[in-house]
Amino acid sequence: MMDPIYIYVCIKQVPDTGSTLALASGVASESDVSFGEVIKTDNLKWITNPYDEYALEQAIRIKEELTRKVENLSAVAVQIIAIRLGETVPGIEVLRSALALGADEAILVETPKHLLLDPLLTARGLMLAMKKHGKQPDLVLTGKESSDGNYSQVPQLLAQMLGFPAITSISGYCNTDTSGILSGIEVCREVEGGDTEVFTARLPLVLSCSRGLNTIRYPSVPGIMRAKKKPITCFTLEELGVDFRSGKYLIENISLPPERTVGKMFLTSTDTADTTNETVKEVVQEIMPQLVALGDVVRSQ
Amino acid sequence: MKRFLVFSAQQNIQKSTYEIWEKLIAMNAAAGSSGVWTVDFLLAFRWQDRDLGQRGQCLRHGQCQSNIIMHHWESGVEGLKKIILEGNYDYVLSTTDTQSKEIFPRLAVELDAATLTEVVDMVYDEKNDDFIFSRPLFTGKILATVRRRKKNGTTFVTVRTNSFSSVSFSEKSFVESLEGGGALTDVNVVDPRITLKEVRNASSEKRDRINLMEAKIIVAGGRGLGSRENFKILNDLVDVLGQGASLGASRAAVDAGLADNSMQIGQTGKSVSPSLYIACGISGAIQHFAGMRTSKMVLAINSDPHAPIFSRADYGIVGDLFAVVPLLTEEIKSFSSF
Ligand SMILES: Cc1cc2nc3c(=O)[nH]c(=O)nc-3n(C[C@H](O)[C@H](O)[C@H](O)COP(=O)(O)OP(=O)(O)OC[C@H]3O[C@@H](n4cnc5c(N)ncnc54)[C@H](O)[C@@H]3O)c2cc1C
Repeated sequence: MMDPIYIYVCIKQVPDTGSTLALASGVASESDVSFGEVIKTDNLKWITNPYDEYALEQAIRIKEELTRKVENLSAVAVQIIAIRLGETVPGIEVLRSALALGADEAILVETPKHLLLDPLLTARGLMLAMKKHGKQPDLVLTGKESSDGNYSQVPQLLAQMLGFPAITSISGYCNTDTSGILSGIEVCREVEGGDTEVFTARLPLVLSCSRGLNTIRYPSVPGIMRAKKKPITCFTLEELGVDFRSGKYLIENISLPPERTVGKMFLTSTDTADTTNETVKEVVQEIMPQLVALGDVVRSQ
Repeated sequence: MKRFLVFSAQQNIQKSTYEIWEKLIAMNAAAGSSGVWTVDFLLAFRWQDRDLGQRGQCLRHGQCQSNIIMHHWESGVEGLKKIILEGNYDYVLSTTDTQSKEIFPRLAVELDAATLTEVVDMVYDEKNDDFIFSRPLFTGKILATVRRRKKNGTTFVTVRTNSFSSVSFSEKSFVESLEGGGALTDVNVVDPRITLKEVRNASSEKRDRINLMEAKIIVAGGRGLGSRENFKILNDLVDVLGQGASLGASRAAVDAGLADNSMQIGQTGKSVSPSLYIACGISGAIQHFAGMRTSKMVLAINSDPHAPIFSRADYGIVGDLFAVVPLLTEEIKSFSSF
């Protein structure tokens, strides 16, 4: 009997991307940047960070594929561990839903409140929790970015701390190993300019997941029932020895970006082609000189 | 005395890389009391030549007195760490791209340093003799100003493209000023754990287009386009807008197969900051807005006068895009070639 393959999926909850955010106070305190201090959280709706959903889905697909491949041997077990660092409420739901979708167990690393944590500390907390949990990761899947902090750092930080390579922002995955034990995989991602890079790699590995990788599934009723029996292990950031006040930088001030004012409207809908033409002319006369002044459009004589 | 290293690992030197350098020079000129800052370039060419044995070159850029360190990307973290430690840099900066986002956090772990990503502004704070950075949170719904807690050590910064502007950049003259040879730097071995198997080149049509994130003008199409073929009318518009223009799409258009994944703008796509954003047949959902809210000017074309995009546009044309866009193309063509 081989050791199971442990796949960790880092997952978090974020304010619903459709929600409007209001400021609680203008200035965050120096030592402790908490979301609740800067943003009104009472009426926020929370969702799973969209990119993390692709990571979880990929983990489930990998497990399904391996389980199918080695059915007759039943030599390899795959364990999916969903891990979340953050406050308990609302944090536990994201883990419950991961368990309902197909994760085997979950870890919650509790932080005191809704923190806007330095990603370096988030990664350290995750790495230490994996160590303390005792199940050495073979594959770590994450979203490529979270929609609250927008840092895109944790996967790479975590990889460096674990001593693993990382491939970020993948939009394609396949298992190239026919023996079914995941010794070789192939992933691809798109880079600036539109080229696609194809990588081959071996475990252990960190992969951060982007759009296009897969289509996510939704939890089923039996899945939700089964999830109730699956274990959730809790650690606190403190007991892992991470001081949430030890971040490398300070958020000094928080503000709402200036609202765009409603601009100039030109109606053509009920018009004949003629007036549409006039409208378009007018718009071009308004806009193009501004672009020429900015040097973004060149007029040729 | 501040020491900066401007990092680029893209195939060509991007305008935005140059813009960082210009911004630093300008800040230095304004901050008279702080002495002359050192602004070096680190150019890590990745696909320029695929010969992994190739070594980097260290060149001097005459005009700006910056050290140009040519470095082979594949030497990875160890090679870069050495350069940064030897140069004793306060800040290492890059445009926000795949390479910088991948390597900066790794270096930050090694050097126990902070990384600030997606920075949109940077000001020199005379009082603290350090810098204050602005960066978006919550996909741009909130703007935060941030500074580092301790002034010693290196801090890594990635700057969102088009945040600083430069009118004097010419890639050709910049590259020409690099010619001239120089000493070799040490390059370590390739990271053996990952293999780049192949690079699938973008279609030539895509290749002709400037990178969306660098584009000064973006024409974007939504579900209102109806079919992939119909994107041609947007293509024609991009063509008359010249070199700095590119083509984007909404998620609904991508999901419906009208446009490629790589064209998606928005919260789960690319974040862009062009001078002009032309939204065609896009309703203006908050997730789409998240990716283009920093555009300097927005022109929306939509048949529905109540489409939310209009409340976020500087100019709106209510009408059928199939009638409006071709006229716009013609009109701009005659304006530009006047
Ligand atoms: C977690 C999450 C992440 C998301 N991320 C993104 C993202 O990154 N980017 C993104 O774009 N969306 C994203 N979305 C989806 C977003 O909510 C919208 O569904 C999407 O932006 C709508 O695209 P659209 O405007 O093209 O389509 P629609 O909303 O269907 O709008 C089509 C518009 O075209 C107009 N139209 C139709 N025909 C014509 C015509 N002939 N002439 C003129 N106008 C016409 C219509 O009036 C309408 O306003 C995300 C959603 C979620 C939940």
